Amino acid sequence: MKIKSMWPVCVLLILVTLVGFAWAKSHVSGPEQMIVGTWSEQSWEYEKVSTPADKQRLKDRDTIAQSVKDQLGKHLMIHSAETWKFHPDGTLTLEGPHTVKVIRWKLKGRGHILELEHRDHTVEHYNLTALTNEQMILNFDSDMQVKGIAKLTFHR
Amino acid sequence: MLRRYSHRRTLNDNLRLGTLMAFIAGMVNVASFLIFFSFSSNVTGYFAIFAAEMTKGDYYQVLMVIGWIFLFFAGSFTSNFIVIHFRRRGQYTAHAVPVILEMGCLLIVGLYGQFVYQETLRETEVLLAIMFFAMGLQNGLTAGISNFAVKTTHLTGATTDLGILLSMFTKEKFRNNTELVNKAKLIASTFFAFITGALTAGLIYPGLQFGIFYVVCILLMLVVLYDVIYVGLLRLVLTLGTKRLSPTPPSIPHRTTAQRRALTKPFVSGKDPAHEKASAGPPSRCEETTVR
Repeated sequence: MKIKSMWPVCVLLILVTLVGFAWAKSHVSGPEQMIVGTWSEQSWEYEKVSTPADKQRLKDRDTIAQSVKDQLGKHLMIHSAETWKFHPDGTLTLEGPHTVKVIRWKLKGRGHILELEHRDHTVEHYNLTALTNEQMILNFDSDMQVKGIAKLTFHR
Repeated sequence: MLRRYSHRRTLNDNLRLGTLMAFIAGMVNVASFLIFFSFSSNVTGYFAIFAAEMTKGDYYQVLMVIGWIFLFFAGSFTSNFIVIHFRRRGQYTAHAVPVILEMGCLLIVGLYGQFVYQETLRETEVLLAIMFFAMGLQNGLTAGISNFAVKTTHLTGATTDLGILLSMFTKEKFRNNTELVNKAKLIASTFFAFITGALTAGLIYPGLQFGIFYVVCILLMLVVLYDVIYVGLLRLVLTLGTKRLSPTPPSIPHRTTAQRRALTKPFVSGKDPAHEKASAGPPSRCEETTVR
């Protein structure tokens, strides 16, 4: 087949692909829209543990004890937040039992990384493992004594 | 580096192209990961992500992954399309155009990132898409013109091939096989160049941020201009060398008085004695030149 006759085929294929992709994308809600709203913290869990003793301890009690959570939270800016309010303008209100904090949020990658930027320009990254209309799951790595990947679960 | 095609390429051609392009791919890959939290020079992992997201029912991410994989494919397609259809207009030009396109793509990413980027997800997706296309262009070009010998944007195949080759080298007959040794040299150099590029990007990223893409563009410019500079220098050297080695203008052959007299006499036998003598000897330098 000569190149001249190939051009229309190539252009048509590209156009069909682009239109199909745009059509499909317009029918799917993106994480930037889905995350907006109020989320209440439900649980902190460990998905991976370093020692069998930790595993047994966590098996006995599914969620992390408040003391452990507080200890972990010393290294995390959001530890005291129980309600997260994501606003469409890119701000996030963290409401704890005693404090209210406003920071900025962004999604990176293919929408699977949540970046939180504090006023002092400290940046935290969380893996947005699951995001549906009812549930949001964030993961973060902890290098503390209790090593593993912590999971934060939120509900609307 | 870009002049020759397929089997006409020498080991040195492939080594130069593979090393420099792998260094660039390593830089781009790490830069995209540090800035956008996604790799852009390899797509194998994205096929796994595609399947994982599909089972989870996250169709937005499924679409994104499909889009990026398609753009890598489209880059590779475009690159080889240009190479095979525009060779008649000049092989070097046909090989250089994909590199120039890649440079344009990465320059757009750098400029947009430095001056416009607001860190929205849509911007991130589009910039990553451009980078996937650029990496597809690069891989399509290097693999296409080297007869699939050089692949620079990922190391899965290289690691496998290197493993196989090193295991083969445990036998002497394979160690003495020049073709296999050359292949191992090429893969190993590509391997180390990719890692060096990645490390370099990791080191200079905190200072340069999006400026890292300008460094990549300079390196790509080097790939494009290498042949122009090389050929230019070669021509210059050849010209100078030819001038130095060129023979002195042919002087009038020295003839004895008797010969001169014989020449001035009218031909009696119809034969020129001087000519006869000259034709009996070895061919002159001029003749040799003419023959050549």
